[in-house]
Amino acid sequence: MTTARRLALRILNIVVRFASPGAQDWAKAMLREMDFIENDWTALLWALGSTRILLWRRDAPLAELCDVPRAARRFQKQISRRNLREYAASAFVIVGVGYYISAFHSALIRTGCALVIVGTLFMVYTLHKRGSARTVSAEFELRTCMDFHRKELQRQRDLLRDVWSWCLLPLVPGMLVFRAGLLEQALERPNASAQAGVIAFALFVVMCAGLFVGIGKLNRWAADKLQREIDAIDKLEKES
Amino acid sequence: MRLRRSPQTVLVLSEFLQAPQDWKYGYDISRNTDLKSGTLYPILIRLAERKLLETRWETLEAGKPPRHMYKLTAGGLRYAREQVPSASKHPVGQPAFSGVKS
Repeated sequence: MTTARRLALRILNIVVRFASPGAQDWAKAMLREMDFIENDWTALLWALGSTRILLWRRDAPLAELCDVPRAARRFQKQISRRNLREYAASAFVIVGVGYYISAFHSALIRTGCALVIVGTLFMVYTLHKRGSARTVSAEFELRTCMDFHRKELQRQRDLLRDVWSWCLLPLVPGMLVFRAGLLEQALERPNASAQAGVIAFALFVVMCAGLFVGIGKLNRWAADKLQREIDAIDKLEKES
Repeated sequence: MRLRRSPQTVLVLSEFLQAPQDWKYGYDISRNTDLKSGTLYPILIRLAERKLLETRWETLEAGKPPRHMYKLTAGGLRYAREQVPSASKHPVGQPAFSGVKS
């Protein structure tokens, strides 16, 4: 087997592996067609084209009820990976902000840092309590698995819809107090401009607000996507 | 729900119209229409989602994975016949009523 053919097979196997449940059959169909392509470079181009399925059909809805167990397992894996990422990011924030507590002597800055840590811990706790991944039992019957998956989608959808209350707003007091501490420190310097300090503070608030609104919208979009998946399951159930 | 009438979709539909009763394979359609896999499959998926295309897995040899095959449904055939002749009358991708004088 030539390198081009090996690469093509590798690419298509990756596409099959990562294709969403609704697109998996199509990815498998493309992989099977490779056996009938004689030219290795044509096969490679064929495989490269298949990656479009991966990107374009990333959110493909379920096509059949029998896809539900696979979708449920895939969803729980995604949740588990997401939570791991969030925990790692939170640990990074806590260590970084913890360092600030020892590096700065201003009471305001230290209080701000402590509040950020509290907010982050609250976020991690809520994520663990309301959004941790669950195990899809291999012994589930199709109906049980479908109910389980629907409930899980609803649980994660509600978590994402509430992102302001458990993830974004708890960080706000700490960030504001921390920034106020920096402002206070800047104003203590000789020749400090109060106007420049206030402008910097206002800019910080505007930037953070923009960032938070963006994160809020992304989570809202993700919640809507989960709602579409719930609707797809309901529709399949009605049709069956 | 109607598909966007792209030149590529019309090509695929006309390929199916060559022998409407025959099941076709993805690679054969790609070869006959000169469409790349990344263009062809999204079209096939859209057609299948709109119930215009029927799909089936065919086992050719024991021990080998099955092969995916495609055929237009009755609705798909009607849709293809609507789209393909009109495509030959009006170049695809251009408005059908361009140049109308008031």
